[in-house]
Amino acid sequence: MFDFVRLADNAFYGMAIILFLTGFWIMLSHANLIKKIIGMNIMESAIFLFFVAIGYIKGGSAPILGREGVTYINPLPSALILTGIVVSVSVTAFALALVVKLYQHYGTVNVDEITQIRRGEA
Amino acid sequence: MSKHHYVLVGVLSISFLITVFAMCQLPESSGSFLGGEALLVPQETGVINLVAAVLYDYRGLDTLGETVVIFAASLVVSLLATNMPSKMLHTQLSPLVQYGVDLTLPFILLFGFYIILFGHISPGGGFTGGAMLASGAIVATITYSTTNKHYTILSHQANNKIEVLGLGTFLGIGLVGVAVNSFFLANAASGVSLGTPGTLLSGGWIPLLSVASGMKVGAGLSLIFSGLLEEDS
Repeated sequence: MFDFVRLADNAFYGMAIILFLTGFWIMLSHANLIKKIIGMNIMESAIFLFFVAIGYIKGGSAPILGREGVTYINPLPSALILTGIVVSVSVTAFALALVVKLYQHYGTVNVDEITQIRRGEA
Repeated sequence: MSKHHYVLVGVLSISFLITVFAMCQLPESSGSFLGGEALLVPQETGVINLVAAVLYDYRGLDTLGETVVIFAASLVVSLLATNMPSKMLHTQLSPLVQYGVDLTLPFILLFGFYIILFGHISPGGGFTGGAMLASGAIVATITYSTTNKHYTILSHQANNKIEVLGLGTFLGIGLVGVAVNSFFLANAASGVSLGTPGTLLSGGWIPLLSVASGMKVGAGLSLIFSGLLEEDS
């Protein structure tokens, strides 16, 4: 069932899974909105690591052509992840701006307290 | 730890076991992917950096969309940004930090420009270099406060102009392809000289597109940072 040799070969994938679940755990278990955003960023990093690891070839080097006797890695995941990083930064900035607005309105960044305040208002 | 946390730990452990089991089935990546087609890239685009070829030639339209995402993010941050200027707005760090930043900032910016300009023949490109330029602007803002007269080139207003100029350059280069009866963002098909692959002046429009997206990303990230700090002044 568990092929440990292959597991060791795919150590990057394993690390990506651990990082993803760590970020997921932080997002779900913390009430602080800033910590939720940090968790989201860790999840995004895990996905970037997973994608780049798919394109990696053992002993390969950067896909700059024109050298003899070199194995190049696959450039496609790198190009895709460049897009992903930009979107990740934009989403983080958007989320932080929303948190600033929430803090101005409610005076706290704790989701539980915001829920209580909203319940009191209703 | 409440009851919810135990349920959460259980769910996360089960999903960990499932993904590890799936990982054992994955093939290991091996061998070279590069067939004859990938080796034709320097002839087709004039650049030897495959990532730059994908970003600025084959999928140039996606790169334009990507820069628009940053534009949208800085727009939203400016709209949502606080009306109260942050407390660190008028604080200045100690002279020791200021001298240190004075010494290192030119090299940070120089390295950013190098990464942008040599993106088509070495690892790098507009996005990486733009992020470095933005980090230079952020360091200057933190050290000298947002109202500094020390580095006016990195101010909010200058960043606005640079971002619009970068977007305009990108669109203008794209429209050149349309003007010569080819497609939007055409590179070799627009009749531009590709030069010798591997030299600085090669790749047709690609170095220019790299500079445009570098301006866009650098100014956009600095705008996001200053938008979260202060009101539009």
